[in-house]
Amino acid sequence: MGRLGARASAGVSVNHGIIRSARLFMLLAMSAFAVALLPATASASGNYSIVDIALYGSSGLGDCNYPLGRARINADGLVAGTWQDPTDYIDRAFVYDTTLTTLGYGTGGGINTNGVTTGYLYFDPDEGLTPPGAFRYSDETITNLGFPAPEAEYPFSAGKDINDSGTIAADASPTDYPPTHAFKWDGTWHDLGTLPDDTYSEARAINNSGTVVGWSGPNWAPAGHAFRYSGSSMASIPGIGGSWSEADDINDSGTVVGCAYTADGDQHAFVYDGTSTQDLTPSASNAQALAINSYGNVVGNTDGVAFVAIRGDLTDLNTQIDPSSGWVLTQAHDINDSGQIVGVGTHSGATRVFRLTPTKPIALALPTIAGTPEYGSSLTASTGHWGGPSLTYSYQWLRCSLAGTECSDVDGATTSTYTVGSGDLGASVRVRVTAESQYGSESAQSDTVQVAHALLAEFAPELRYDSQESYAADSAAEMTDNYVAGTYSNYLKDSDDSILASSDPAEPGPTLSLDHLGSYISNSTHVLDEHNDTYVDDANRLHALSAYGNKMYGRIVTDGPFVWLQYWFFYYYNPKTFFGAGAHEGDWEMIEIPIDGYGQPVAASYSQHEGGETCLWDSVEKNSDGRPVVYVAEGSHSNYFTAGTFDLWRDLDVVHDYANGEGPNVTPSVIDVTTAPAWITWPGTWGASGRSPSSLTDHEAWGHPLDWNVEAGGCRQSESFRVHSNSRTRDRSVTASAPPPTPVIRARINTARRVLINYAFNNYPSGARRPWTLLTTVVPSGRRYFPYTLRTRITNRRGTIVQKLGSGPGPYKLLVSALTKAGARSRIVSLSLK
Amino acid sequence: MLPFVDASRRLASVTLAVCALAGSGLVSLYGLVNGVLGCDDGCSIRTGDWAENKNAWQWHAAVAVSMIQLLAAIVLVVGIAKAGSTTGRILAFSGFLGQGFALAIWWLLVSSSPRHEPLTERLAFLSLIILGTAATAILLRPRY
Repeated sequence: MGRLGARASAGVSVNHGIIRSARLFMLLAMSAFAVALLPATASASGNYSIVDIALYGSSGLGDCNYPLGRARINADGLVAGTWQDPTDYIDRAFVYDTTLTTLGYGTGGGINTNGVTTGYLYFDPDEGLTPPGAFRYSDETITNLGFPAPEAEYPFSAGKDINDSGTIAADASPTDYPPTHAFKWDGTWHDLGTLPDDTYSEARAINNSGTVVGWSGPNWAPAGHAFRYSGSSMASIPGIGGSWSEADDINDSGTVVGCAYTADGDQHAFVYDGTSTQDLTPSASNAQALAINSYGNVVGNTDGVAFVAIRGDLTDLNTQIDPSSGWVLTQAHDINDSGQIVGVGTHSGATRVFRLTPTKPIALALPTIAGTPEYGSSLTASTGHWGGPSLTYSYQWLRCSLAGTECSDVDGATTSTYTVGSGDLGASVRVRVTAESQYGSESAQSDTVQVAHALLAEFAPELRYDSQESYAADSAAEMTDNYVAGTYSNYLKDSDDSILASSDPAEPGPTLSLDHLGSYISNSTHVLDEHNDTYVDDANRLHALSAYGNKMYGRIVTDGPFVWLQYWFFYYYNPKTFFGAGAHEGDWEMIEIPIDGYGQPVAASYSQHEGGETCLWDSVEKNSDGRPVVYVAEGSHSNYFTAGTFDLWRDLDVVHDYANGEGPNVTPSVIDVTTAPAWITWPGTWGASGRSPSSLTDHEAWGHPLDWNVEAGGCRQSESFRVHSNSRTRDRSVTASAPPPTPVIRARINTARRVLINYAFNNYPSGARRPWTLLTTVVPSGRRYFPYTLRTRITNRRGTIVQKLGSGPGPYKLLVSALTKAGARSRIVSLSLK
Repeated sequence: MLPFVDASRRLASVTLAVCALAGSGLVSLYGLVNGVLGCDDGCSIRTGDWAENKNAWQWHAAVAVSMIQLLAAIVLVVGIAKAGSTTGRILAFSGFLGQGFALAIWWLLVSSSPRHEPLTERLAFLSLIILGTAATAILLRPRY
C-alpha cells in the first residue's frame, strides 16, 4: 500500500471533479441540517436488534483495509458516519439518532459522549479544488477548524476522532501538501510528528486521556508502524511479525486495537495492553480490529464477516441477528459501553450502515467481588456491566476449591452480599450474576477470591537478622539476573557444564531470567551457577535495588485440617561452613503457619537446615503488628523463635547457629505465588554447590506442609508447647561451647574508601579454641541497605584486612568476631568507623 | 641394635604409613563432616540422588566408613611399627585391607550420587595415592 493508500485514507483523493460539478449539493451541505429521509428499519429477533441507518458512503479502504467512511457510536447510541446518495455518488457526513442529519459533503469521523462530532467537509465547493477541512459539529453548529498551515500550497485537515473534552485527533498537512502528519486540535493545532526515520503519520483515534493512536511510516514505502502518542512523545507499538501495523482505536485504559501483518503476509487483528501485543485472529487471512470499548470488548471484521470479541472470544455477528433479516454484516466499526455496535453490511444488494442494540443480556464486564476475603467479613458483588434493555439481576454465591476449578452453590446465598463463614476457609468463593430481560436471561461469574489470601499479608513475618548477616531474603531473580556488563554473568548450565542461558543479554544465547526458567524445556540436571563466585558483592549490590531487595514468596495451601500460610525466603548464598564444608550458592528457607477453621493461626514451623521446629502460636514471639518474629541465623539462614546460639547436631555441641537478632529487622514484601508461576516449578538446582537447594516444589514442605510440620522438631522454648510427635526430639537448649578469643581491633576508612582492619589476639584464655576465620561486618546507615560481611581465613595472631564499605551510605559501624574451624563464634567487637 | 639398612627401611615405612594415615584422616574428616551436615539445605523429596534424602542410610554409612577408614589407617601404622612380628604383619595387612575396603565403599557412595559425582575422580586419585603409600610402607618394612 504505502503512500498512495495513505493519501487515500486521509480522504484527500476524493474526486474533485465531481465536487466541482455539484454546487447545488454543496449549498445543501452548507446548510448543514438537511435531513435525509432514508428509511431506518429495525429487526428485533436474535440477540441484537438491527437498525438500517443509511446507504454506506466511501466504500474505499485505506491501508490495512481501513474503512474510510468508518462509523462511530457514542455512549447514547448516537452515530456519526458517512453515507452516499446513489444518484450522485458523493460522500456526506451524517449524524444519526432516530433520524439522519446530513452535515455536508465530506466524511464523518468521531463522536464523543456529548454528541460533538468531527470529520472533514468541503466548506467552499464553489472553489472546486479547495481542499477539505476538519470540522466540529455541536449544538447544530458546524465550526471550520481551518488548517495548521494555511500558507501551504495544498493545505488540508481531516478530523478523525474526538474525546469527551473536545480534543480532536486529526490528519493535516503540516507545511506543504506532502507529507501528512497526525495532529491534535484543542483550539490550536499540535503536530504529533512521526516515529524516528518516518516522514508520514496518520491519527486514528483519541481517548479521554488525550492519547492518540495511528500509524507512522516512510513516504511511499510499503511499511507502517502503529504508534501511541501520549504526553509529548510518540512510541511504537509492537507488531506481530510483519511489515505493517496500524492502531485504530484506544480505550481509556490505554488498550489499543488495530491490524497488523504477520510474517506470512496475512493481516490479523491485534490487541496491545501496554506491554505485549496479542494476535486476536491467529487463523485469519484478512482481519482487523477497529474499536474497543471501556470494558475491553473489541469489534472488527475477519475474512469478510463482522465480529465482536468479548473477553477474547470472537463471535460472528451474523449469528447474533435474526437470520431472516436479510442482512450480511461485513464490518463492525465501533462499539459503545452499552454493547451497541455500528458497522456496515449488505442488505437488498446494497452496502448500508447498521446499528445493533443488544436485546438478550450480554455480559460486557464480569461481576466483581469487593471486600476483604477473610473469616467473618462481608463481601459485596457488583453486577458487572451488561448490555441489553430493562435488566433485572439475581445472585448466587459459590464455594470453590482453592484453585477455583471445582465450585458448588452455597445454599441460601442469593443476595448481593455474602458473609465469609468457616466453611470458606481454605477455599475460594465467586458469585454468579444472572441478568434477565424480556428477551431472555444470561449468567456470568466473577473471578474467584481466595478467602485465606488476606491472611498472607496479615501474618507476613518480621525477620530479625544477626548483626553480622550479609545476605537478606531477596528476590530469587538475583540468581538469574546478576551480571556486570562485559565482566561476568550468572549462567544456567546443563549437567555437562554447557551454558544454556546467561544473565548478560550481550552474551550469545537466551537471556536468563525467572521468566526464562519457566519457559524453556528444562530438566532436573540443570543448574544455576554464580559463575564469578563474588557472592557478597553481588548480593549487596542487588539487594540495594528495590526490584530485588527484601522480598519473600507467600502461598496458601490446604493440607489436612488446616490452611497453611507458607513464606519462602531466597538467599543468594549460604556461607555457613563446618570444617570447610556446607557453604552453597542459593538458599531457600521457609516458615509455615497452619490456620484453623476460624481463621486463627494454630502454630508456626520454622525451617532449620534439613528439618525445622514447631511452636504453638501462643508461644511465638510477635511484633507490635501481631506478626511472627523470626530470628535468622548468620550464614545458614536457619530460622529460630528466639535469639541465641543453637546446637545443630545431636547434642554433640560441635556445630552452632548464631542468631542474635541485632541486625536489620525487616518484613519483606510478599509476592503471592499461590498459583505457582512457571519459574517456581523449574526442576533444576538453585546453585552450583553440593548443597544448593533443588526446585522448591521438591521441598517436602511445598507439597506436604502437614507432614513436614509433623517431622519438624518440637518447640525448644518449653517442652509443654510441643504439639507434634518428633522422633528426633532432643534437648536443643542454648549451648556454650568454647569460643575463640575475642580479637582486639583497630580500624579506619582510607582514602580509597576501603576499611583497613588491624586485628590481634593478644590473649588466649584457658579453653579458648583457635580462631580460624574473622567475620568483619560493615553496617551502613539507612534501612534500605544491608550489612557487608567479609569472611577472612586467618593464620596469624595479628594482621590486617582490607574490606569494602558495601552499598549503603555512612556513617558506618564495624562489627568483628572470630570463628573456630567448627564455626563457634567469639564475642562481637563493635566500633564506629571514621 | 638394628642394621643400618633395616633401620632406614623401618623409618621409611613408618613415615609412609603415617602419610597414609594423614591422607586417610582427610578422607575421614570429609566423611564425618558430610555425615554430620547431611543434605542440609539441599534436601528434597525428588528421587534419584541419596544426597538429597535426609533419611538416606548413606549418611550413616559415610560416618561409619570414615571411622573404619581412620581406624584402619591407625592399625596400619601400628602394624608397620611392629615390623617383624606376626602381630605386626597381621595388623599391617588388616589395616591395608581395611583402608582398601573403606575407600572402595567411599568410592561407591560418592559415585552413586549425581551431586557428588564431580568428586569421583578426585577421590579415586586420592585413594590410589593412599593405598599406594600404604602398600609401599608394607613392602618397605624390615622382615627380620
